Amino acid sequence: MTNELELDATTRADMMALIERLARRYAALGYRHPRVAAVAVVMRGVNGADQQAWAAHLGVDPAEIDASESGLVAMADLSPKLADHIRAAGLAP
Amino acid sequence: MRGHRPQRVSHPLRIVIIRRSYPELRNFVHISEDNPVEPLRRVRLNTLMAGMAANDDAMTAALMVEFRPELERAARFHATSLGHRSLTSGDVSSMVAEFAMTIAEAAAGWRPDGALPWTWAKARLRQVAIDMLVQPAIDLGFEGDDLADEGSRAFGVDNDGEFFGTLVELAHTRLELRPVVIALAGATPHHREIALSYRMQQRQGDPSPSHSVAAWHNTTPANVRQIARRVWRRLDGVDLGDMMVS
Repeated sequence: MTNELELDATTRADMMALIERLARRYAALGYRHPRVAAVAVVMRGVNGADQQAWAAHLGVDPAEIDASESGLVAMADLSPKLADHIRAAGLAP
Repeated sequence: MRGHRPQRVSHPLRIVIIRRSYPELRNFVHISEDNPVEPLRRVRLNTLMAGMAANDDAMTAALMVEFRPELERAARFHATSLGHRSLTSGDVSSMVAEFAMTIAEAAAGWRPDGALPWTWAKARLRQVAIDMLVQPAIDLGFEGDDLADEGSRAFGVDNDGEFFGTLVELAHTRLELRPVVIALAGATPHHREIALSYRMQQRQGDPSPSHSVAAWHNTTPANVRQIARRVWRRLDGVDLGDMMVS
């Protein structure tokens, strides 16, 4: 299984467009870290996984995934594996 | 896929999940650009729509990745129907994202045995396209916002045919624009272009809009003013606020 996914330019542009929109929505909902939440959500979506499968793939607790997608975690505090995926995909905030 | 080469990300995790979720399709599962399996994609689409209906935004991202060709086709279809034939890659990405989010917001009402989501949500997507491509042009030209050169080019106001087409399209739903369309429709394309250019220059704060437009159209400032007056005079008696050209 591939550990890190590098996105092609088109997919990255699409995902950045989605991240912008989700981050605005999450900010309006009062998320503490709306952009990190948007990136975390999109990162899972790019991999086509639900939270359980994504957590299993990353080897982290599903609660950790949920927390990051709920805007409770700053970028610096994300699980290293998730942060690596985000950086490799070129989606880091 | 019917001559279309999808730009998608194949990821082992996705294949594992699909195999796990749909064992009956195990023999069909071979996700690649050369051998997409339509029944599998339809099953996958149903799963993504269900996820979106359950407010899982990650499934919106997955829809964009896995059904990008379809979303792009829908974006280009609606853009073309509104007179926007050339979109930048950034425009397409923005439209694909907006379309996917619009489909996600409506996903709870979608039926798996019905039309494909981008067909089912056609009216909603058309409104999104209007909001993204047409409304800014209207706002820039007619509602008092600053009109930048870049904006006027981006929204096609230099091309009377396309801009007028978008006005006509918008007037179907915005009744207040119908007098504008009627006024412009009564003029020749050349006069329409002069009247629109004159209006745009005024909006941009050009101290001598008639001189600028006259230079572009190889005519006199007096002629430009007269043409603009004739075109916009058709709006006399209609309360359009600052749209009136004095």
